[in-house]
Amino acid sequence: MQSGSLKRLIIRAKGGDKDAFGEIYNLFLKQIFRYIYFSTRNYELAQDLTQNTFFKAWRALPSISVYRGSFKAFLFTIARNLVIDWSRSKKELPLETIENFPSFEDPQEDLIRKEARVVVLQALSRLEEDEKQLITLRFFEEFEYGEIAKVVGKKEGTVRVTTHRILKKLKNYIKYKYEN
Amino acid sequence: MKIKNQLKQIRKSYLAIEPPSDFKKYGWLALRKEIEVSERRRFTLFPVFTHNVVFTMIIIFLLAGTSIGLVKASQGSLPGDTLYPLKRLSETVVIAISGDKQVRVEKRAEDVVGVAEHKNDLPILKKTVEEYQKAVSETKREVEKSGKKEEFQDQLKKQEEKLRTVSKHTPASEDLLIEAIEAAKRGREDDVKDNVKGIEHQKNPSEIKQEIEKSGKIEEIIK
Repeated sequence: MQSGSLKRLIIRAKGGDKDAFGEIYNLFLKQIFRYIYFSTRNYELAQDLTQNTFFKAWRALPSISVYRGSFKAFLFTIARNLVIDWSRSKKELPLETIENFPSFEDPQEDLIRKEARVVVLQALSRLEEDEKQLITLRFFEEFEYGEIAKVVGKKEGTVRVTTHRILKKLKNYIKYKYEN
Repeated sequence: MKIKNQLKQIRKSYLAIEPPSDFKKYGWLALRKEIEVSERRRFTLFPVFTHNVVFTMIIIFLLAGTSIGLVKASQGSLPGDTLYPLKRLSETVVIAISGDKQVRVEKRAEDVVGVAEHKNDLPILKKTVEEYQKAVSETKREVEKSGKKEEFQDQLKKQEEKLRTVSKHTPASEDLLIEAIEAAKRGREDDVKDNVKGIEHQKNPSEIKQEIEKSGKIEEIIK
């Protein structure tokens, strides 16, 4: 569910108020951008897909209900679909792109932890795009399973089971990596 | 370290991802321009292809199409059919627009003929005949005011003939059809009475002769 002020903005935007939509844009810009960037690792592409997400959202506004569902889930559904479309046409990301992530540097982080993080990132990059999206939504965006279900269009139970299966897959990859 | 804890570590980096500052500053302005351009393009090239207008047009076309289709389909319906009330409704509209009250009698006569020929249902035929009787008497009063009496009488005569023909080959409906025929006759009856009255008031030749003789002008007339 959305807060009262967001609901008011959505109602105004639905009525064609572009300024209200501008406020919504600025409210979600960072979240949508980082979600897309995490998959694409390309600033320009992430900007294009972010703009496209909001453009599509504006066009779809008349058909959405303010009282049912969450606007955040609606935006992430559009962004997820765009990322999945893009991933179908892309080549595999080069290893250094994966390893160079993140931009955030923790000075306390020791070498072993750093290495472990790179291995997990590599493991993530080997997942199918929709699997990666699920992990991103659950563990990075901290969506509830119910919210993820709305974004991916599946039942909550299915999302829970799939998430556990993906985590197991990641564990197996990491284990394999350390053993070899 | 557990996989969930490792993901938590990566989350810190994930949350640190920021859109470029130019994008944060001008992103909305660029998108707004794009939205406005696309809206202008849609209005200029395809004025009707906007969300609300398209939906409205589709709904109007569907409703109009469905209504016209239903009204057309209803024209062949008979009393007791699902679409028959729609036929009656469209008839009321036609009468209101054209002002032609005789349409009602014509349609009820068609109903009687239709039910007698195509439906083996005496209760419905009885009701249809009653409707016809009602239509004849109501229209008769209205027609007398409008001065279309002769036209109405011709119409009733034709209906009477048609009903008589139908009654010959639908023996089960004969009694009820005779009632309809009687109604058509009664619709023309006043006219017959009027004629009889007219004849009554006309003086026969012997009366005329007597009057002339009384007036003493017989010789003038012979001359």
